[in-house]
Amino acid sequence: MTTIDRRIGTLLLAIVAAITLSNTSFAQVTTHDLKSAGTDQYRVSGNDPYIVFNAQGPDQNASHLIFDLGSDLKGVPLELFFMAEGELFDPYFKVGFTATKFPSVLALPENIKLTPSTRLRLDITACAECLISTKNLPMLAHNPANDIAEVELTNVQNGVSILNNQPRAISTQGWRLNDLSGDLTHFEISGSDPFLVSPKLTTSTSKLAGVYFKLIAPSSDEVSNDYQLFYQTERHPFSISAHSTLRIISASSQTVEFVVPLDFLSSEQPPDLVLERLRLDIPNITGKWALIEARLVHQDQATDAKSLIPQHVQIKQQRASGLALAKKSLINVASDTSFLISYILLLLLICALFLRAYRSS
Amino acid sequence: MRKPMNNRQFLIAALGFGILLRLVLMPFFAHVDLFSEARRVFYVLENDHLFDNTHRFVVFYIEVIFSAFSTFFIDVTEGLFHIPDPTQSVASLVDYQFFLNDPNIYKHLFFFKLPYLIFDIATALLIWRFVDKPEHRKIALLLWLFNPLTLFSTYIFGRFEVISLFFLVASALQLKYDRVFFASVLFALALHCREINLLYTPFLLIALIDFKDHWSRNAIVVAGSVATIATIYLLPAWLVNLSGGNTQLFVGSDVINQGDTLNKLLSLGYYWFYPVVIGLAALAIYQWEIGYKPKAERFIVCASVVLFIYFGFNVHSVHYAAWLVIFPILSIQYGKKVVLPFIALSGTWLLLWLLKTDTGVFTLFLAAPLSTDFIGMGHFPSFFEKHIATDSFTLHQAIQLVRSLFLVVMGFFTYRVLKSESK
Repeated sequence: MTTIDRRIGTLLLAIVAAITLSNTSFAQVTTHDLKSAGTDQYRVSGNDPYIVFNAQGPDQNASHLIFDLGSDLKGVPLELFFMAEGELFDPYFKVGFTATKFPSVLALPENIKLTPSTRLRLDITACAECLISTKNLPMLAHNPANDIAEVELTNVQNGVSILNNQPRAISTQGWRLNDLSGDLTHFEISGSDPFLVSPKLTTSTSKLAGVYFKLIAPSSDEVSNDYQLFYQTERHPFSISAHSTLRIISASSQTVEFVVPLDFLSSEQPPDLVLERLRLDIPNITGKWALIEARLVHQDQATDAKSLIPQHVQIKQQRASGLALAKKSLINVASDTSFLISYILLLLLICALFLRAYRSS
Repeated sequence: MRKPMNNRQFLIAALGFGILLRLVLMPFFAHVDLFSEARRVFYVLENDHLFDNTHRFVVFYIEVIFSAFSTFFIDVTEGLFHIPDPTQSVASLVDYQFFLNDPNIYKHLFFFKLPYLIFDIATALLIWRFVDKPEHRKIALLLWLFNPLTLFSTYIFGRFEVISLFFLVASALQLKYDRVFFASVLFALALHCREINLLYTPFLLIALIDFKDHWSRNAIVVAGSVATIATIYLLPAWLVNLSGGNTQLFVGSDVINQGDTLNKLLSLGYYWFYPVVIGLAALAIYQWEIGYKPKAERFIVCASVVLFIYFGFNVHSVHYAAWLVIFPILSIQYGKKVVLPFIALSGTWLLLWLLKTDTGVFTLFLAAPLSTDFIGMGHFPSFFEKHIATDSFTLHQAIQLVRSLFLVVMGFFTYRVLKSESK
């Protein structure tokens, strides 16, 4: 009965879809945090519900995926992971979307590789008790018919970029301004929490030394002004525990340029591996502002960039303990060579003096 | 056969290990309070306000002298100690983070704690001198050099408590040799280090009364001591006022409104106030009743119990526990057995402040030049709530339980210090 239902459903879907459909469908492999709620139906039962599908002889030229998951998932944010290494799906290859009706169709990311072993993982991201139907399994298509609604992708990640040894400019397009009026070339503070959020960077932190900013800032009456840089990685959103503060001593020049070190990200435990976005909080100074330039700095340019690191910078402190702590401490202390040498000499001198006094007593 | 250590060798070995341990801790730990203090000191140095601060002026000028000395070795980063408004001199965590990231952080921490090291070791030598019996003085010395409370307060938290304790020991030593004037002078200097020392004042004055002497002689001695202490205590503020200086340089509006605090104190706003008053009054009667004992013993025993009463009801800040250490150590001279209470105190104090910690005590920021998770458990109260607490045994209940244990330890200490000396 189940098999018949499934075949009928798939057939109906195919008819409704288009004659240009590929003949490739997917078989359900496994589910997670979903419990059976009848034939081909599941109910969410945990915090991380997903279904994994396996392609059945995929059409390598297919460009779209048609799917029908049941009415409960209308309006529910979904994520489709499309790059797997063994059992694990790579979090940097995924699309996010929300379907308003079913069946729906989504455009596959351009460089998705459809092979006989292609697997897809569909995550239901925000629905505590949804009922999910797998009666109609997903199908690949070339050009879906117009009467099937195409979902708009809210988030596309197609891998992580790695910095080469050249500075990488952050596009001046796609910045979000908060409590700021105007655009990047000319903005003014219009609220109590002014900041700029970069476009998506999705860049590996493995070679990242820091980020460079060049701004035009209005003159200030204060002796110094504080800027804050928040960084969002794959492990966390913007948060107070992931930020650096810089104190810029006010100067006569309106141009402010500085580098915020981020070289510690790749060595943290657990490591932050992918820089997603940056957020620059600016001091509340009335007047005309502009962001002239922002770029990611490669470790090879760290020496040049060092002169642009402000004297007063609060870099996120390390969380290391145990052996990792001992190693980091040694590196930290060794960076102040004069202190290290004097300190060791002092310890040796104290030892020698007390040993001598002890022996002569 | 190996020869046993003689007394001098014991002293040298203990001091050697003690100093090495302190030197190892000095450059790598600090609470934000140390930075606030350093900002005030450098503010005075940079803005030529040398004669404008009378608050804890003995400690302050010692720190000023050593900080001025440190500038021969450190190229201080411009603006590092800048205070926009001296009445708001307590550093924020953002300011503190700049300090922690300063390239000279280890030198700053080392030099700022250097006077503490000197006074700490000087206190050890005074203790060695105060206690007569060799076996007692060894115990007293080891308790001073290696107790976790003063080590933590001075070299990890980074506060100046040992300077205040030094003057108290020096005062007790003078009292032991019946040098009342010098004892009073040194006690007055201790008052300029920590206000809490005012609590000892009535017990010092009662201890000066010798029951064998005529009342008129006693009256002259006590009056002379009161005059000495009062003069030294009030003189700096009077001189600063006279020269047109500003005694309120670092005093904020919260401190100026002291009338509110007094009203709160007298209207039982502070739950610990009346038990402490009752305890201190009872202690004064006790001190009068043991008038046949030596002056120094009466002062030391009662000064010990003053703090046991105070801390029994009021734990305050983690580093204040260092005040508890000095008088019980000196009481060893009079045969008091305090080692076991010391071990109990160290354990309950550590447990209490692990649970009652804020971000600056044991688990975060203290070792921030090296790591913000020095103990590998993150913020311990959060760790406790996540892994240990249950619905019926919450963090709050755990804190109350350990506070109760702390009161018991204070009782244990009181019993051992008041008990007649061992044979």
